[in-house]
Amino acid sequence: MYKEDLLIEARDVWRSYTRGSETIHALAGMNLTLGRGEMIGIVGRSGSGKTTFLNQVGCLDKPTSGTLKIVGRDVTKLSENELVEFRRDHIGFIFQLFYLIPTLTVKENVEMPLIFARKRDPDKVMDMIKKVELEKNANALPGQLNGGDMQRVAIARALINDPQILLADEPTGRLEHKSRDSIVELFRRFQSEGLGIIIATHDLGLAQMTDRVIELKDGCVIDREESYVFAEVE
Amino acid sequence: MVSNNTAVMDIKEKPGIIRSIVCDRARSPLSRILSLSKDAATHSSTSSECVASVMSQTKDAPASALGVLVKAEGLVKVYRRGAEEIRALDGVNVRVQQGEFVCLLGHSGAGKTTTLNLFGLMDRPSDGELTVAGHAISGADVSFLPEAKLDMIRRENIGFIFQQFYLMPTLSATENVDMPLLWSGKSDVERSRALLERVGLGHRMTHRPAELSGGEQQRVAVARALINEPKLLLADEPTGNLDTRTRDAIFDLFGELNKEGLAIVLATHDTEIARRVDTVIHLQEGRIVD
Repeated sequence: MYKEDLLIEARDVWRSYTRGSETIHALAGMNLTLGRGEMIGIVGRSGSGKTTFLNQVGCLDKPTSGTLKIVGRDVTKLSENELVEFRRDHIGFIFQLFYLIPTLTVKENVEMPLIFARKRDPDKVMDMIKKVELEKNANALPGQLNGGDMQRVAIARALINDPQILLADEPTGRLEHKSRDSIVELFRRFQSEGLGIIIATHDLGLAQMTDRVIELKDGCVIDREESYVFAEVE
Repeated sequence: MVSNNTAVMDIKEKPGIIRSIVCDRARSPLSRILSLSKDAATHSSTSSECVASVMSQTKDAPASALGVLVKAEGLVKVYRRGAEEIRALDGVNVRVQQGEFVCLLGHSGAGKTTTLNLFGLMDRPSDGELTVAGHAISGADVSFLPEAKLDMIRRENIGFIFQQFYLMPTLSATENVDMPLLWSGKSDVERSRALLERVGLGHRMTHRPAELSGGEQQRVAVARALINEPKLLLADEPTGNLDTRTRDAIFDLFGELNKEGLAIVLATHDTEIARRVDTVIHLQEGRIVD
């Protein structure tokens, strides 16, 4: 892979917290790369470091030590304000609970990041809504949609600012298998346009639909031989 | 509260907690809220005669004339699930006055959220009359209002908070509060900060939701609900995810906002909360009961 195709390069990333006299290493020497147009699944039990890692990559938090380059930029050197701007330009997020605003229409929910970035563009919003196949629901409120469609709205909102990376934290945890599969199908469509996607999940079935599955334990990547997530299903 | 006979009985049985329902309420609630007025409690004028008098006056008066924010008569909401018809609301009569604190009490499935969704114009009634903030929404001679009109009425008059908070995880507390103003192009960060101060979060303005406790997240949601200066706050199980102490603190905040003139309709199954408001409406299977 050419260097410029690397969207994420994490080398020996640590994230440690102090609780009283105790030090907790939520990440303990994490290594990972994500290429342009690649989709990775990260599995691991609760507390294994999945969400902490997404928070570092998503610039919602800063590593205690290590190297973390996102689209070639060393984000450990950015100030808080620079991180906010960097995040908005390069990274989209989706979550298990969707976090749509119930009082805003589909169109308005999708438009929100553009408004924050002062780049209002109604045509772009409608194009994105068409891409996620919700044009008939553009003026609906989230409560009028099913779970799968709500997650489509969240995806559209996450991608409206043209980020290179989408981070998905348990994105199909609340969906039936049919909806889950259609969400993955949608991911693949964006992936083919070059989007890099990381999915953190407990659902091994979902993870196995990605290009590469990585398992975390105690804050770092473990080999398949050490795996218990796979061992549980094999 | 002026509603059907059942709710009127509730008022008469609880004279000690009836605050000045209508007598002093030609006021602008949010300007008072932001001015941090602490003298609102002195407005209490709690005679049941006053209430009774107001009730007789309001019976045939236009909804807007006496500060009626919500007027629902014979409100029905029917959902269809396949061949099954579910009557989520079945002929509910309610009036909510300016500055009133109403609790919708009932078990899951009683119709509380459906009622809030109709009052908040998030959904349309199947039948019955509904007037919100002086706008006729449904009724015999009421023309169909387009979604955009409902959105506008909602934004100008109503704030919402929910059990799940629905804050954007990637935005700071201030940005979450400011968000509803963005669509009107009237972003006002100073005002957002003032509201965060008002709800006791002056020290948390740059924090993201994950960095806040549940109670603090709900306070951010309250500040966001107030940013458009609503006359009416609709709260759906707002303390359902909070421990008892935090619940009480949030409820105290509602009490202060209400004393400053904000009307609140709160849906809950928590009888402890229901004991502390002006009026309790018991809902069961879509109907108001004793």
